Amino acid sequence: MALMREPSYLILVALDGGERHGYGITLDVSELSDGRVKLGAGTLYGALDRLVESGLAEATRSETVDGRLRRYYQLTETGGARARQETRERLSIARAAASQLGLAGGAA
Amino acid sequence: MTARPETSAQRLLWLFPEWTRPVRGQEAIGLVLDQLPAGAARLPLRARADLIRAGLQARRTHTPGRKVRADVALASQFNSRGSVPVRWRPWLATKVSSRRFQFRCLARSRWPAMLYLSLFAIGRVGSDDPYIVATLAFLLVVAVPGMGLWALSGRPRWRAMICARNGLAADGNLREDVVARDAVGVPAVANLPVLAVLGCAAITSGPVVVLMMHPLYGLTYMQVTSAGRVVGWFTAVTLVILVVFVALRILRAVDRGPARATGLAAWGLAGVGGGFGGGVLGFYGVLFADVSGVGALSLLPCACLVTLVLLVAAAQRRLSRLLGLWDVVSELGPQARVQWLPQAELPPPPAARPLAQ
Repeated sequence: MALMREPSYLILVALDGGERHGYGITLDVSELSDGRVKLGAGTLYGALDRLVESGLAEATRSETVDGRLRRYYQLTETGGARARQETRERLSIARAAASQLGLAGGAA
Repeated sequence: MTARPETSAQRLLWLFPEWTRPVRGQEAIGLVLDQLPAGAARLPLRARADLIRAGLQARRTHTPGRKVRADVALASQFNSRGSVPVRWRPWLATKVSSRRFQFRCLARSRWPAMLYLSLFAIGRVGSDDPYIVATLAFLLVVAVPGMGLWALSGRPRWRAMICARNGLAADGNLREDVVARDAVGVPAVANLPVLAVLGCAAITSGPVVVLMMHPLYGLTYMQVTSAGRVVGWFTAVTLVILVVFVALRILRAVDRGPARATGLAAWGLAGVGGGFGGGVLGFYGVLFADVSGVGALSLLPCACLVTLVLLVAAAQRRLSRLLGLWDVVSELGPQARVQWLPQAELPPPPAARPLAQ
């Protein structure tokens, strides 16, 4: 199976920590990527739409805070399994590449 | 934080499709404002660009395709169109009560086609062809009042029909008490073998043309006029466009699954229907020739039918199966439907009565 796009993968991993709203997801993604990936509204909601359509995530509830609508999302069971599978595949590729390139941490 | 960034963001809400503004639009605005530094006095350029991008992306993914919109526009009591997939029910709920949307559907329906044809041809007509003028005047008398009647009285009926077919309330809103799911409806006709239909049509259209073009039986009372030539060529070109459209459908035919109708009855029906249709097309071929003054146009329907027969035969060889009517005209096959059921509890069953001893 082809690897997911990075924003979608990071969103899945962020949602694995529990129910999140959009701003919470962007904060978690920024933390996971050491500030390298900053999700804007267009990227975030485009990726969330694809994940919801694929059955990997679902919207749970909405609330209004300070006049702003916040909708919460969570992983489905399929999404959780897919996040784990994706992580294993990426780790496998990274290890093989590190070994090939002679980087520290690669397989002997 | 002052209200200025929020006001600027709300002004960009129009970029989102109307039916997504209350949720997705407000969600995106909330995210953009949350990402602003505390005390920001205005909405930065980057945040505006982000919101614009989110709005355009929402427009791209939350606007139904042409087929869905055409299905709604062409729905009538004489067909079973108008049912949209479940994911587009919220879109339809925001549109169905809009007068602008209703008139846009009218613009796409069949009545304007008659009007356009009439206006096109009447622009070429002179006073030397009273038959054409009478025909076009009749079309205008039928087409224009028909559109007017629809605008006045047909719109509420059309809206009620669309709501019923999609599980919406009478006022067009989503019903909270129903469960909706995508389903497949009953096909309009059996999946007849299309090669039989076209083959019989091609076989009968030729002799009809020959018979009618014979001087003893042919139509010779029409005088060829400049307007007549235009109408004759226009209708001939329309036939060719239709044939190209059907040919493309045949070439792109894929296996859609449901079993086709087989047996003597299906082949017989296909043969009789095709033969009758071929005769009608042969007659129209002669009419093209008579009206336009070009004798070769009489063979146009026969040539088109033979071409389609060859295309069907090639497609059947490619797919290794018989092509059915559903492959060529998918609207005749099983159509997507919204199946909706009220969630209210059913009344208890009647108390059982003791059996008579």
